[in-house]
Amino acid sequence: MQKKECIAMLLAGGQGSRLGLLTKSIAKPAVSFGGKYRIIDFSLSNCVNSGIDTVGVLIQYRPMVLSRYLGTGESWDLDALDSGVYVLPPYATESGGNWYEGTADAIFRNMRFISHYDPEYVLILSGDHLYNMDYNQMLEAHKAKGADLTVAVREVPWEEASRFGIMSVDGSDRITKFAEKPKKPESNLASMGIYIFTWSVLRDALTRDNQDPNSDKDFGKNIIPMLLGEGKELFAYHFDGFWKDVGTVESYYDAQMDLLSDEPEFDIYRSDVPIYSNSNIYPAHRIGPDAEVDWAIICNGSIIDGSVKHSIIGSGAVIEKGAQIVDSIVLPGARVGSGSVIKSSIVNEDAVVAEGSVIGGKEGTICVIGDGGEVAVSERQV
Amino acid sequence: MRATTIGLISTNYVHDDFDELTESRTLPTLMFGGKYRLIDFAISNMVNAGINAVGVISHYKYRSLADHISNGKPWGLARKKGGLFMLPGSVYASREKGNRFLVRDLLDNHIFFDKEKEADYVILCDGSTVMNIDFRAFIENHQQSGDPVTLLCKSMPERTDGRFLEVEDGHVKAFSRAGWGSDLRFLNCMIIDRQYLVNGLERYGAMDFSDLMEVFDERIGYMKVGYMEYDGFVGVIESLNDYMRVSQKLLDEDVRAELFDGERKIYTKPQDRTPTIYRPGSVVKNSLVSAGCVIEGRVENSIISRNTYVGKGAVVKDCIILQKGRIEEGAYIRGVISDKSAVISKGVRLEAGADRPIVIAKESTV
Repeated sequence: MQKKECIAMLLAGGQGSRLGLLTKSIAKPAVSFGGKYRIIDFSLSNCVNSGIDTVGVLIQYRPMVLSRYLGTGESWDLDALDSGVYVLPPYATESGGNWYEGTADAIFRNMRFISHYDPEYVLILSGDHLYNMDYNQMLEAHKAKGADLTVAVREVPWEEASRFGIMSVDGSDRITKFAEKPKKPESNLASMGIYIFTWSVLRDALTRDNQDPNSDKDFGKNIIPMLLGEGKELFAYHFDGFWKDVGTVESYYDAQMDLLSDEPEFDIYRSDVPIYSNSNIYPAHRIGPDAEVDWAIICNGSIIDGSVKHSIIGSGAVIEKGAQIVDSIVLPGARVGSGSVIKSSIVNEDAVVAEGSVIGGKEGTICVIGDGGEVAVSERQV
Repeated sequence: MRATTIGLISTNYVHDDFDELTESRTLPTLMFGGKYRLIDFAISNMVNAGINAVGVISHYKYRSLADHISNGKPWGLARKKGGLFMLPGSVYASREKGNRFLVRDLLDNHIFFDKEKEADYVILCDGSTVMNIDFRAFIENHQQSGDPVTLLCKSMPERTDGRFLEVEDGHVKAFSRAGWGSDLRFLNCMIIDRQYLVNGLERYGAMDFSDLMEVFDERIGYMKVGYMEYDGFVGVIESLNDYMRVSQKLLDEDVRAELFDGERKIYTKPQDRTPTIYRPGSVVKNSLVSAGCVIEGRVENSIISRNTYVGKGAVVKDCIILQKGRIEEGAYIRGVISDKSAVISKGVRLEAGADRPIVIAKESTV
């Protein structure tokens, strides 16, 4: 095996509890997006498109769909010689076992995986963000600055800054201060949860942090402040392209509906950096003789016999005769029975909406229809 | 021990009746249904029956074939045991309509039968017949009959070409032409005992210029050949009109569902296209549309392959648009088959007569 310059560790164990029914049975990185993708496709595709061919995926919460989806990694071209996607669950040792306690703990417990590749650098990613980024440019910046740690940052609106890890930087982008979710932010440069560490520095930091019984074992809360306090070389890397953490039903809905606009913020249509996914066994979709399709994104394998307006229809979804889908997202494999009227709603993967159901449409709300037919109503934050 | 079967698909035959569509490719790699190539049906049928060794006899224009099937990975045939084998076909492809399997191609590639010597049976078929068949049932039928050869056929009184089977007491007595009596059309697909085929090929080595079916024509009186009637959907594609007709059949929901929505999937090389977007003002009726398209105009009764653009005010009716097609603003086309990357310019009007579709050649602009 050849030595790797940089490998990626992708944190994919999060539940995404604010997504409610959508993450009841699958982890957030496995949640469907844009009709045919799962959220993890974006960070995996970024890896491939940046030439990073070895990815450890840290899993914990409801991993079945995610593990099956990743398979051998061939869908992302990650099954070349000496490369691969490796699913890394928490494991037991001779002294017992427990869950990953924090983001840093998840990486700490897989240090042998990283050592196996003996990389110079380790890229730490989150599997539940939407963005299109060339990690190579960030790696080049990390090398050029001789950094120990580079944190990708972006400007966020001041009123939202207290939701993020906030950096203060000097004129050369050296991080001078870091505050995790500060009540009174001093800057609006937010951490995107994307880190490049020099491996020797990361190894040392994780080892020491693990010996601290009071640590939350979290990159934002513990590792970054520790390294900053020690005077290590920490730099910010500015990224101003589209990036979004779809944490709530509202942001999940809005980010997808934006794909319908003429110039979507999140441009999934770029041909130079294709987004790969493991969803290609479906035939072309069929639009029936009586169907009406006006302003829609429709994926392979779906069957449209009803009316679809300003909506997204996922792979293999079925819209029966007389059903109306308006301002809604129907996730893969769902079926909407004839005569149903679905407005401003998200129909979960494989959900079946009974004939003649009338759901959603109340202003300021988004309904989520679960795979057991249950309906949850989210109020929009005004 | 459980019987094992290997598969052999011939693509080494030529049709003159497809205008430019087969100019640079063999018929089995012609696109079908918006995202497939015809050969996907033959390969998928085999792997869906658990066949793990499939030979594909190539055609001298094999670039599109090699590009498409590569090492067989999309069909799960990139294997240690078995796998997908590209077998070189002779430069003299079968030219006679209804012929598919050159004896020379079988002889020259006997190494495939030798290598897979544990196999009891060989399913031999062409690469351009559209069907989703349970080959397990075909194999079982053959095994129970005890006959060395079983031909697959279907009652198709509407066909005027190909070989028809004259049958008696469960066996094929003779071949005939359309309208001579039998309406059981041979589907260019058979199962044959491997050893029987190997022995036969040795004996007919001197006839290596002929087609296996011509040997059958001559020897049928002395052979014990069984047959199985298939009752599923079959799309026979021998001409441009067939291609249009069978493609249009996909708009029949029963046919489409039988081919694509059952337990036996049809596999093809994945392409990773974005979903298709229909812009405000588009109108689409009774059509199949593949991924990666941008539709702004009107599409009716058509098959639209991946990455096609239909501009504002354009009308596409009763057409087959192959991949990366571009139908610009205000164009009107009806009864057209446009090949890969063809462009129909702004405002152009093209309407085929009832007797034959218009073909727009690959990468051309009208």
